[in-house]
Amino acid sequence: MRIKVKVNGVWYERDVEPRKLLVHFLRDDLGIKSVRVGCDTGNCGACTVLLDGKPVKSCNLLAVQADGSEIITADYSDELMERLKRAFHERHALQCGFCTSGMLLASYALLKNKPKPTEEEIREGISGVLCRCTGYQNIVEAIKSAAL
Amino acid sequence: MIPPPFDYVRASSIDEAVKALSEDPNAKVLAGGQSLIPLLKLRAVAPSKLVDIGRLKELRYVRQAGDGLAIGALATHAELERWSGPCGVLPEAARQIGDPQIRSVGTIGGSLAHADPAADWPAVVLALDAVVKARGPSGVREIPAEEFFQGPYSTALQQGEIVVEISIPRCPPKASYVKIARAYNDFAIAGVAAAVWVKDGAVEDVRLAATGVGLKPVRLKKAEEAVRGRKISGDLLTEVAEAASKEVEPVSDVRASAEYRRAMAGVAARRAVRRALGL
Repeated sequence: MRIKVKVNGVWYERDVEPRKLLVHFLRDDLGIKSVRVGCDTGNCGACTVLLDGKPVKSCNLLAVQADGSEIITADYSDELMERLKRAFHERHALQCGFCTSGMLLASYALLKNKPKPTEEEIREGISGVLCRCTGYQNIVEAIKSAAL
Repeated sequence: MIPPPFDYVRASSIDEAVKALSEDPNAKVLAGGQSLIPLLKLRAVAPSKLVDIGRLKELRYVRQAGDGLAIGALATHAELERWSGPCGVLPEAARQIGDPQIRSVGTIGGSLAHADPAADWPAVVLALDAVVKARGPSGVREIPAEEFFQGPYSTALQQGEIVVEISIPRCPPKASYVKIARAYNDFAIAGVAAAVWVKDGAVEDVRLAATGVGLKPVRLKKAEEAVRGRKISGDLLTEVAEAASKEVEPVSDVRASAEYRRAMAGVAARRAVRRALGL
């Protein structure tokens, strides 16, 4: 089936098999490798992208479901995303980096909706992304410092 | 993991979806896919065809209807989380489902049709005495929540029928949903939804429903008996917990033993009633 998606501001049109997962479409068909396959079971959130502004797990969606939608990955750049990336860098909010794409996108979605979240809201906002290095403390600190 | 191959039909109307489903006994409905896609990836299911109803905007709404609500089958958990009208137990329950990414996409109709014995919505719709409206080849059928759930992943839906609306006849004045789980985004070990009507410091009427503690969501009728008509007190909470623990028939699985689920059914029932009463 032929689908069209806008990823980080660029429209792509491709033929896909209906069973192709969105994460494989982004990684293999479009070459966007910042989107990770972590657990492959819909738990870890490493494959998180923003679909029409909403955080979703791209390993748990079919590419055909995203037809006509706008997608944002960790490669996206705007003022808020740059602020978050800088904060993650300054606060040492990553060790191995595998969850970082998901963390950036989950926190981007959170700050878009709630520019001044409480610590509890931050923790809830990133609850769908698992980090196995940091104990979350520095990630929460980074998001706090990136908030307005 | 890669799903097995299937034919894909993107429905542009409910009728078209019903027709595509009716023609093929091995076709399945795709709404948000947050329960179906993991099963496809595990190859636990291999439908011949997926009928994607995800773009039917006419099924995405939450609105007041009389003293109750009408909820379109494709209302997402996130949309219900943001609902600020009557039936505040809906956002309270929605917040406890999965995680933000699942809630962005997963739908209430999909959750009910999937009928996971530990899912959250089934207990809530039972406690709210909801009616599930299904559209099939012979028109719309109204199925009371009490009759809708028949066993693990098994419902009263017939070949070609799609859940189109969840109708809540009246929002209870006080209600709460309490879920006990191993982790923030896990399925319930036990979850209890309570709807309570209070008059002159006593429980005039109550509906309690539990998930995760049986092969399907259940009304806790004995626990209801224990508190109906009684004056509100601490003893009442103890008795509701004991009655709820006694009447459930849980099974052991990877998440919890039957014994622990039984104990947690009591804890969840007590907390749900306490929270509903604002004690």
